[in-house]
Amino acid sequence: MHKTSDDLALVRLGLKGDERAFEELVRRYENALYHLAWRMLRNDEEARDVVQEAFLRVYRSLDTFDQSRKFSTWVLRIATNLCIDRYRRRKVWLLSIDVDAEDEQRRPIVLVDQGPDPAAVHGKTSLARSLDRMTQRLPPIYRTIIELRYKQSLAYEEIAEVLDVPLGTVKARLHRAHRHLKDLLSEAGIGPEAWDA
Amino acid sequence: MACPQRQRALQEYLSGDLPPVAARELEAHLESCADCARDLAAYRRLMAALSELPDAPPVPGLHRDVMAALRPQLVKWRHRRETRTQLVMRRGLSAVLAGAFALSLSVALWGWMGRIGSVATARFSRDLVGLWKSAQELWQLVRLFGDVLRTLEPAALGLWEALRSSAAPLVPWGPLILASYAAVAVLGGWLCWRAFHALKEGDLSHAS
Repeated sequence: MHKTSDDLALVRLGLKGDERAFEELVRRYENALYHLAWRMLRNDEEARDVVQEAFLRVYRSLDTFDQSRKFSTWVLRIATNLCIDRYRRRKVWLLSIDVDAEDEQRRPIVLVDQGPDPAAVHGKTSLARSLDRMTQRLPPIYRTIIELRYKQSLAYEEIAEVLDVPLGTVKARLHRAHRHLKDLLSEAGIGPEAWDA
Repeated sequence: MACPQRQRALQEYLSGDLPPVAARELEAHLESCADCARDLAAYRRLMAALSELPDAPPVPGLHRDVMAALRPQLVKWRHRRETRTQLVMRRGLSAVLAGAFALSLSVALWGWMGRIGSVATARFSRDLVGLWKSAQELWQLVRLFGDVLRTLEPAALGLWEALRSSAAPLVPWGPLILASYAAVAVLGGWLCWRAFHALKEGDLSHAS
């Protein structure tokens, strides 16, 4: 994330009704938002919906944006909240099916990747492929934090701003996410000795 | 994992967040604890591998799709984003154009009625009932004009947005908008001049 000062200039132009400035903001952040949404939801259509809804909300509430803050973290926060809402709705829907099942016992739900295996598409290393699968088994909040830290390359402070949590919480969640992933890889029989990063 | 209490310290050590004193203590511990040393190596590789996580699949046409979904809403909300000056300019220009149009329409109607014939026009000017009916007809005409405008507005806006999005990088829309305003104003002025000229020439002389 960069071009912060340019972002603010574009926001100010957008506030004056300059749609081309707003379109430039969309162009700058649409991919970041899509990747975040895709990592959370693993569904192209839903990820696109999140991007559109996020920018609609951005435009609608542009005049409430605190210009002393970074636009990038604000827009990521909006998208993150939308993703979490969708994830919860999806989970509720799956739970309602689950309750109708014979045993009426709520089992843990694992959401399955509905898209193509990106690692297969991009030919990444086997560890990256395994990690990508493992991240899908993390709770959404850990998935988000992994995406923000490693794919969006945000600093801890920026992640705290996006998630609206204290800095210590960000670090604690990231540590727990690392530990979860390490344990999941070990359970899958993928030991550190096989990690050729 | 021999030292669960050190899992967080190991990660903080790798990310440089561990205070120097704690870091030195951990380094000393690592020399004597093979499990923690293995976990440290595992976290180091894990963090490096996370940076290599595959990207989402490529999304061709994302910008086009996003903007296509956004544009109707942007049009709807555009007026909310106007500054006071833009609002005054827009409303002022609209009022001037509407005034020019109404004036030219009224004068043209007056002239047209004058040409109908002296008797009918004389009756019109004297007969209050006739005046009321004429006013009603004029009001119907204005309402019809408003309905036509309302019907055409969405189509015109859609056409405008389509033109603007397809030719946005090529066309200087600002000067074109001003030029179109100027053209409409000139047209309105010309209509008025024609109507007044017709009056001066005595087209309505029959009405008196």
